[in-house]
Amino acid sequence: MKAAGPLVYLVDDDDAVRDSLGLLLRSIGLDCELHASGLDFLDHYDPKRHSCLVADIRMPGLSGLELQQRLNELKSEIPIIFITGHGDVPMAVNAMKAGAADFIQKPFRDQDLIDRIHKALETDRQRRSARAEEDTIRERLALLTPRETEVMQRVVRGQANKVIAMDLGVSQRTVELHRARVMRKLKMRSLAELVHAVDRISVAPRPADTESP
Amino acid sequence: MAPDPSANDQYRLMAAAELHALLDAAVDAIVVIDDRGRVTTFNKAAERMFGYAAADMIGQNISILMGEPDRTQHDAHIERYKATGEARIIGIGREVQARRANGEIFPIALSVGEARDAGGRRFVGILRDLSSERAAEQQTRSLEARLAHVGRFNLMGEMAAGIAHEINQPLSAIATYAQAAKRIMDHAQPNMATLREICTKIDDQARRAGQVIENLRKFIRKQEISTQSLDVNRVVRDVMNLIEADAHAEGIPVRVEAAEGLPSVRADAVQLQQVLLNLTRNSVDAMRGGLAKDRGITIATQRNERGGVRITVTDHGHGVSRQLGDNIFHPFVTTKREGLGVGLAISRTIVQSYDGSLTYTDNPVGGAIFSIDLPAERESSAA
Repeated sequence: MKAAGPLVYLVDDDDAVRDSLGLLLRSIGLDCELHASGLDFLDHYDPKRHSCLVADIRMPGLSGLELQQRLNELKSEIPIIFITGHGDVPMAVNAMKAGAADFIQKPFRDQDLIDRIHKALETDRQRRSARAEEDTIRERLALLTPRETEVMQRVVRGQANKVIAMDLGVSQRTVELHRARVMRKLKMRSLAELVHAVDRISVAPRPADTESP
Repeated sequence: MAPDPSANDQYRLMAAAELHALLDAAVDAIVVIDDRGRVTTFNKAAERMFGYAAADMIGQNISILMGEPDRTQHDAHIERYKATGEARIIGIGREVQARRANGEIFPIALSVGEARDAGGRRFVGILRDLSSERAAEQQTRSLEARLAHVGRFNLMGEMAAGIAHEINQPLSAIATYAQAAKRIMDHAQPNMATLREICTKIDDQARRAGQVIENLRKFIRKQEISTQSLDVNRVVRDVMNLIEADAHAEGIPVRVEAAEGLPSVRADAVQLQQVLLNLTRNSVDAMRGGLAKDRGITIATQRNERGGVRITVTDHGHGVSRQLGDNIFHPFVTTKREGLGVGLAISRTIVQSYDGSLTYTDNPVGGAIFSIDLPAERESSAA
């Protein structure tokens, strides 16, 4: 099955504005899905899809900022580009603080919007590939035996083989063998790479899998 | 003891004198007529009310005191009542139009009683002048109309923001449609049907924007403005209840310093009041929650350097930042979180339409001073 390309979700309550933006994006070959309200979008939003969201910040019903809040609650990381009108700057600032990717003020040049959409899609792609890498590391870490995990953690903390051997009451040679197996299972080529990978997992827990405290 | 005939007469005389005193002391006008409508009694209050002397009224037909249609129909009314006993006013009382000696028609409350004795039928009318009551009601109604107007003024601010949005939407759609069309034309084989469709959509949106402007024009046309000769102190006085209602709700005192002997100006009173109300509302907003609340807002009138009139609104709020400066008079510039930035812009337009100016200066002790300068009304232009 052919993987779906990037998708632009477009949310605007004004029929003509929404329709014209849809035409513009399709004219340059971007796939887009149009929604008249934030709620309608939430009903159809597929978090697994490579996408970004373009939304009017001022909408009746669910406002742009409220929509962003709902997405944050859903732990969605979809990049959002808000379309703002004159005098909406304070609102846009709040949106940026809450993690919106970008905002664009009406009236805007089509190329300006298209550039921002490409940038947002690129952000989404990078985030997705980073998440995928982290998932791979996690899967591989799960393959380690308890003893290998113990050795790995001490190595990452910077303990020398000799120290680890003494602490665990095994020979230095055994530590070296565990260490080699860790590197092989995790597909790491250097100590630096290992430290970096483990560090990444511990500072960036998977958003969707984070357990509530 | 048998009654003394002379004593009885004396008693009657005393009773008549008492009755006279009573009638003349009454606050309400009292008029008695016989069964042919001729006046037999006309008390002092009636003399004051109608401007006729009792001596001139006795024997006259009561109808000369009436406005139409009663004036010409009254004799017929009496005849009908005598024939049928059907009362239209006796024992009921109602509001009717009366007529003074000088011809002025005015409203009265009239109640009528009937007396029958050996001398025949008499009708006693008690009349109360309602003209001052009606005038007060009229004033209340006109104040209500003004309040409604003030409400519409605030609505105008909301409208301005609404219009900006209403026009921006179709314009933004038109621009995007055109840009999409251009990109489609760059395709190797442009889809002409799509392009045609886009053109139709652009056309629709242009009409939509035009409609918004047309609606605005209609709205503005409704508000025709005529200027009158005004005493600014009176204008200030008339809007004080609205200003105080705003300020007192926030615990902010309002002081008025009115100069005497100011020349009159030409302006629309209601509009000028709206400007003042807008300025004082800004002051209230600027002082809300501030430390200098107790120092209040001062509205002062004075003669300006050019012989015209200056009205200043001085507050002790946060003032206007130096970098904003005169920009506060531009549309959509505001320091308020919830504001739209149209109040001062509209206010300045209004004042300028009277050849006046609306300016801002810093209050040296902190806060803002807004000054409305209006030229003195020229004697010749009044003619």
